[in-house]
Amino acid sequence: MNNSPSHSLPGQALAHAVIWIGIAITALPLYIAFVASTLSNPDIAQAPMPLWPGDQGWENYRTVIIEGMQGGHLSPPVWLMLFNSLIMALVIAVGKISVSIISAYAVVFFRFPGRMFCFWLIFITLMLPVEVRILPTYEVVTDLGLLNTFAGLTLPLIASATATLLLRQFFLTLPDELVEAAKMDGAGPLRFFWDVVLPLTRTQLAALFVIMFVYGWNQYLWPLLIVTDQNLDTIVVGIAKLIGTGDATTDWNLVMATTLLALLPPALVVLLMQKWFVKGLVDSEK
Amino acid sequence: MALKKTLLAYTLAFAAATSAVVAHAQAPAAAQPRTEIQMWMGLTGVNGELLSRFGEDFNRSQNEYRVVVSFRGQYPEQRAAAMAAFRAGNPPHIMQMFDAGSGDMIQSRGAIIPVSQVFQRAGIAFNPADFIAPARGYYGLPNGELLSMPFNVSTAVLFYNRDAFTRAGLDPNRPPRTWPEMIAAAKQIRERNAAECGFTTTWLAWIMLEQFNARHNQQIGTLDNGRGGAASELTVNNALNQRMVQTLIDLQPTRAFSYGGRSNDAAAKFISGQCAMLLQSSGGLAAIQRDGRFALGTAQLPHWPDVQGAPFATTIGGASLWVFNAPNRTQQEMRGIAMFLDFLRSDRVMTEWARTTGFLPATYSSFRAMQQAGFFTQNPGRDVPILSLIEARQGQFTQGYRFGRWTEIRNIYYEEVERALQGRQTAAQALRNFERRGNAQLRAFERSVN
Amino acid sequence: MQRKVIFPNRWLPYALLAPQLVVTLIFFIWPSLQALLMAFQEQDPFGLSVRFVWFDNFVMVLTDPEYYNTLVRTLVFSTAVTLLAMVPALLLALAADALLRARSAYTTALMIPYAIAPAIAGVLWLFMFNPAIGVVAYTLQVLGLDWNPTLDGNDAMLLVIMASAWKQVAYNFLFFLAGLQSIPRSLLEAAAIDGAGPWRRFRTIVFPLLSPTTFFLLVVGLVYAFFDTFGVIHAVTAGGPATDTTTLVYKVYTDGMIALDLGGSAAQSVLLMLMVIGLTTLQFRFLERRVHYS
Repeated sequence: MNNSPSHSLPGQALAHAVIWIGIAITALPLYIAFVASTLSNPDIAQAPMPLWPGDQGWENYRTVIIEGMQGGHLSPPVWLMLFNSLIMALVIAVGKISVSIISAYAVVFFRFPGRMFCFWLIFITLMLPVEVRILPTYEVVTDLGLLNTFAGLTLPLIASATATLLLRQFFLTLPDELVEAAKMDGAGPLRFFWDVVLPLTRTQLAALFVIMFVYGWNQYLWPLLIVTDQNLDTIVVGIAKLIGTGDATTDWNLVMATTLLALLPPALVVLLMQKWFVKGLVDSEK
Repeated sequence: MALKKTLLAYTLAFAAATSAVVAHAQAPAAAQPRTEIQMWMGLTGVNGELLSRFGEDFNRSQNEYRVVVSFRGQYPEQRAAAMAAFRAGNPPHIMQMFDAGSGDMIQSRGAIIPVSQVFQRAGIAFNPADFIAPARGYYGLPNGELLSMPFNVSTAVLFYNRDAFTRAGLDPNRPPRTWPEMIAAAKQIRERNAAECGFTTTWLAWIMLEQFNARHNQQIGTLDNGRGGAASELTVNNALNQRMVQTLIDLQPTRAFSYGGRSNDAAAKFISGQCAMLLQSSGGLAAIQRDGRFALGTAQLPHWPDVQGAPFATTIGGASLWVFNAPNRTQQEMRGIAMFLDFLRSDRVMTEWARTTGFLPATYSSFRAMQQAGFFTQNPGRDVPILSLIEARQGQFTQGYRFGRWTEIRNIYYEEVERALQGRQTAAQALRNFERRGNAQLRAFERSVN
Repeated sequence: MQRKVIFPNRWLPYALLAPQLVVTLIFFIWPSLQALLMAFQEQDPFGLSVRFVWFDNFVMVLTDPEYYNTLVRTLVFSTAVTLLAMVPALLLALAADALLRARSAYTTALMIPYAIAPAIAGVLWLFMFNPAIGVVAYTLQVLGLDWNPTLDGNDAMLLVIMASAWKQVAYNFLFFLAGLQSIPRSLLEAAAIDGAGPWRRFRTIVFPLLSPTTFFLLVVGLVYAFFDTFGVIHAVTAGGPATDTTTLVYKVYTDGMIALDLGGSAAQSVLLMLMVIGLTTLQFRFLERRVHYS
């Protein structure tokens, strides 16, 4: 049944070639990071850095994992920071998606006074960069007594205009026949949402989950401001603390090793989300 | 759908688990009713570890207080956090603020409590004269009181590659002492191709503007380099500064001088062997020793011999500790602050700090302690920076400066000099523009604090 | 844009919107209003001496010739980043969509750059392109090219454009792929049977059906280029050399956090916000018409 031209051998070869070029370019910085994580610091400093992995790899990763397990005076143990990042990322991802999908649904499938106003109010959050409003947001969070709390870490980040916009775009493409069919079946809007819309949105949700998870995973500025208790540090804050300020020494090989290790959970999420990118879903659901 | 439900379930479970973990982690603190003292700092890596450990050492040494030392980002982010916290009525007890931010702290009347007063109110003896003179001048008032406590102090020195010197036919035991000697050495290094570049510098504004003018006892701004108030004006567009910038421009084509970037990026050029000489902060020593693969020499900053009285003392960099003024601070907390600061300035802590981090001993007593312990004989070259601060001649303008918005003014210096190095303007134009734009910043600052 | 067939409920939509609106109002609108209020004030860093100055800050910003240089620089930068991030992403997504095997592995590999925190991404690019220690910089110099982003403004601009686009390619790739995957296979097969070649299929079926996604990515990409590139610029060039890589958002940061000119920085943010709102409105007004929703 699959004899479309793109499935021919030259078509496949071309596709593979394009992807490999893409990977070579996008992965180059990561390869460099990997090489740096296997060298000693003097080797990195003596320009140019060699392009082949060195022999310090085991030593460096061992230091990061085993010694990092004990933590220090400046940072808690590596596993705790990874755990904090995981929770933050999950809560933020699930929170943002849940909140946005029902908003997008409301804006698209209903007509009510203030509809577009609400949409623009949500959308306008994209228009002011976080660096600008960070001081007043800090004051609000302090006034609400949320400093140094998990709620303070996650709640302010839950409103997502990007997710709402994307889902709104997608919802607008759903055929009217679907809605009519549901109404004829006597299904209300919530039923329609849960049984019909949600399954159809699977690929968008998977993509959004990846993006939002990474967003939550990489939070740096906000946790730094809000949290004084080291034990709530995220892994990105931990990496920042490894990088020496001013003229202080930096163990670049350890920084690179930690960075690569910190990439594993998000990479895992991307891998796991793949099975939701399934072709032909729309066809079979009809 | 199964996925979403599963995720939700897992999330709730994890959230519950996290709250348990966090509560447990904080439990030991809640067990004893100690008064908490928050100190925010901008150090990471080895330095941050040590300062955090000092906090824990202090906590172990007494029962009344619990000091929490936390990293809140690099100095600009940390400062923003402190400002936000202050506006919300809840600033940290102690904050580490870098040298350039001092003017902003001081001119905002009411935001801070001078450190001398903190000690006085707590009834703990405190003698500002024990701190080295350049630091006292930088962070102090005319009547001898200290506004903030110097803690991590550095100054600028000249590092040079002895092996490159030998290759160029220069004597590695006689580093350049004056700028003409420096220029000649750089040219010779390039002619003999002993290195790809003669010299480079880090921290362009700090070294070429601030340190340079202190070394020659030249005024940077009116009202005693800004200490007289926010109405000061910059006065750097003079023949000496023009000569220095022009020298840098002229030495570029042969790579006798090669620009390496604004902060400490240029250090990489020296460490990798590309450049034979480096003007750098004394704090950069550890990186050079660890990663460099050549014999290292240290010397004081060069000077122009035709300036009367030169060489004078260099000035300091680094950071100091400030005490915030908050309406709800109790007498108890103020005493804890004083006790912790007293702990930090003790000889024991100061010497361990200087030995480990490469920052300089900020007090005369700790310097003498290190001398007596033989530290400087065992580590030749480590005494060059501190001597450049306390043994060289003191002058009216070696006591540092105090301007608001100085971080931005340094940026303006970078921008204008870089433009000159790019060949888009002359040294004179660069300094004129710098003065003009810098003064505009000072006037805006003056308006904002009045 | 509104669907033709909708549900008639009165209060349900408000209930659905409530969570997002509440969080938005408390944690975004309210602080933003305060931030915008600062644009009309002149104050010291600690808020101890605050004065209302009407439009003085705006006048100072708009009469500064450097502001206009920054504006032009930002437009050039944003256009370059958006284009550089969208075109390769689309190509890669088309290729990945056509694959029969190993799609998961390739997709994961292409997505990883997105997972790197911006500050670390900046550091990685420094590792590659820094004239002193970078491997790529060394290669360029060996090849005879004079690569010096510390002093050459164009080199520096090229560097930040590449570093910013690099992260965004992964983002665009992901959404393009998701969009491509939702295109019914039956449509493409029918067209193939009718004799339409790949380019024709792309032009008449794929691209139009992909247009909602493309529109979304264009809007988000513009916002990203204007705002979120701050982290990368900060890590790689800090706005230098001279002011050659200082974009509008970077200037907001330096004026606000470094110079502590809170009023001027807030005024610039207001102007920046108006600009982006304007650009986005234009996109919605003119481009959305061409978007195929069904």
